[in-house]
Amino acid sequence: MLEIFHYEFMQRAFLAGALIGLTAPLIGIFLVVRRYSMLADTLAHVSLFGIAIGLVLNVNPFLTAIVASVLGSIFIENLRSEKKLLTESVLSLFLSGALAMAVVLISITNGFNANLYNYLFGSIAIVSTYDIYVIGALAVVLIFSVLYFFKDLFLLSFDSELAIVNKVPVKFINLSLAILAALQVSISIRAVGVLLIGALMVIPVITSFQFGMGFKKTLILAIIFSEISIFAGLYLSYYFDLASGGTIVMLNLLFFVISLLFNKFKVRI
Amino acid sequence: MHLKQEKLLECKNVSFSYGNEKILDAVSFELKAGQYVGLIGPNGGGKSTLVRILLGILKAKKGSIEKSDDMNIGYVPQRISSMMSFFPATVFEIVKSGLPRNNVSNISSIESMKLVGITDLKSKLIGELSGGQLQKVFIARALVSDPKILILDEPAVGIDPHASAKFYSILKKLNKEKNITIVLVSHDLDVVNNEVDTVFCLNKTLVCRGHKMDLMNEKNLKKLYGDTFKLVNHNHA
Repeated sequence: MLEIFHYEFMQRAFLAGALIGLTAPLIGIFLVVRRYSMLADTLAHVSLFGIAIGLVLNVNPFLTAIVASVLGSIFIENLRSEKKLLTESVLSLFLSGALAMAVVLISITNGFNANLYNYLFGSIAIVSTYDIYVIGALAVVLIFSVLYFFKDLFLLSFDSELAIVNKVPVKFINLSLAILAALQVSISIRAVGVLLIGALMVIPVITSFQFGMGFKKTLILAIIFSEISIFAGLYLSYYFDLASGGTIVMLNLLFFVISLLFNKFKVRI
Repeated sequence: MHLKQEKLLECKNVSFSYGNEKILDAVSFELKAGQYVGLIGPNGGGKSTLVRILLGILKAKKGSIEKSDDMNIGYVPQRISSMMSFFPATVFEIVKSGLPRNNVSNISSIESMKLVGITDLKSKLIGELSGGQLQKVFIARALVSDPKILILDEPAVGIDPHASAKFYSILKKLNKEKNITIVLVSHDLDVVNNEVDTVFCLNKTLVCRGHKMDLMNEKNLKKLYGDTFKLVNHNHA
């Protein structure tokens, strides 16, 4: 049963999974409470555009995805705050716009191929040592940034006016959150692929919500659900030859359904 | 007594407009330690805008707000939004979030919860609170920054009379015992008449200001709200 851990590629997969599983809810919880969850999906599509550029230019698509995603987050945040456009309109604009550009670029090259399929739906088993270094470095940035700005992020999420009164640098924190979300999206591509990233950042958080706890406890529980889903998902996908990204997200969904039942049961008592 | 009259804040000729629409026109006043001010005026008279300027949320187009940098202003908003019910946070977490950014305050979260009598709610989720309890949480959150001035914008809207009476008694206690200056924005003239000492009447300009005994009469209020205004006295036993 433990032979899975003997393979180096699976060790790398579990390490990458552990890091992504930790950071996804860390960023996701702030997106969810600010009703900004769609940012993850939008940035994922912007990443796909980055991947397409990488494929066309023959540069590591993982790196071009990171650059595209971060630049996209800066543009989105700027349009949202400076031009006074509605958040959902801006997200919709970037989601479809980036996808359109990605599809055109991909059609210029060979069209759809196995490599692209891995980016769309994830294939954590092909994580390279180089990928691990990038994921590790970005995970460290994410964890320390969230811990350092935790109080500001919390207050800004709950009451943006009081955040201004208390001299929280609102623009800077908003921009930072968008960039952190972009980094998170970039490192999640390997695990679940562009199309399933939103699930990784949102589902563990809303699952945890069902247990009616304070903010920090909700976050910790979300990380636990996230890690269990990734580890169990990897394990099951290996032994039953399933797509890893889809299996991970389906386990997240399963936990969510169970949490709904738990919530209902508790209410009846 | 001398200390009680210490000037905390000066609003100097403050004007504000949205495009061509003038909202505030050359508003000037001082806030002194220990005052209990009721800010009244018709809808669109600029009350909320003035509050937002005092708090630093909006910038005055003309004029200035002068206060010392280390003096904190506490803010209790109107009962906010439906998102409260799903936000996963305990009362303690919300109160603590009011601490200044440098985390330096003379009063702890627990002490400020004690002051408003909500220590028993410490671990409750904010989504489970009644309107009255929620407003007490917001006062505690404001107090944790050790403010000299507390500004409340229509704080008791939608709260039942019993809870709102308790709420106002807490404000009175903070004003009398802690010498905190309170600025209460309210449409409820009855409450203003019962609670505050000083009244500021705002309708784009500061129409009048002074002790409530001199201002809360039909003649003056008609000047502020228009000729159709009629003062009805309620009997508060």
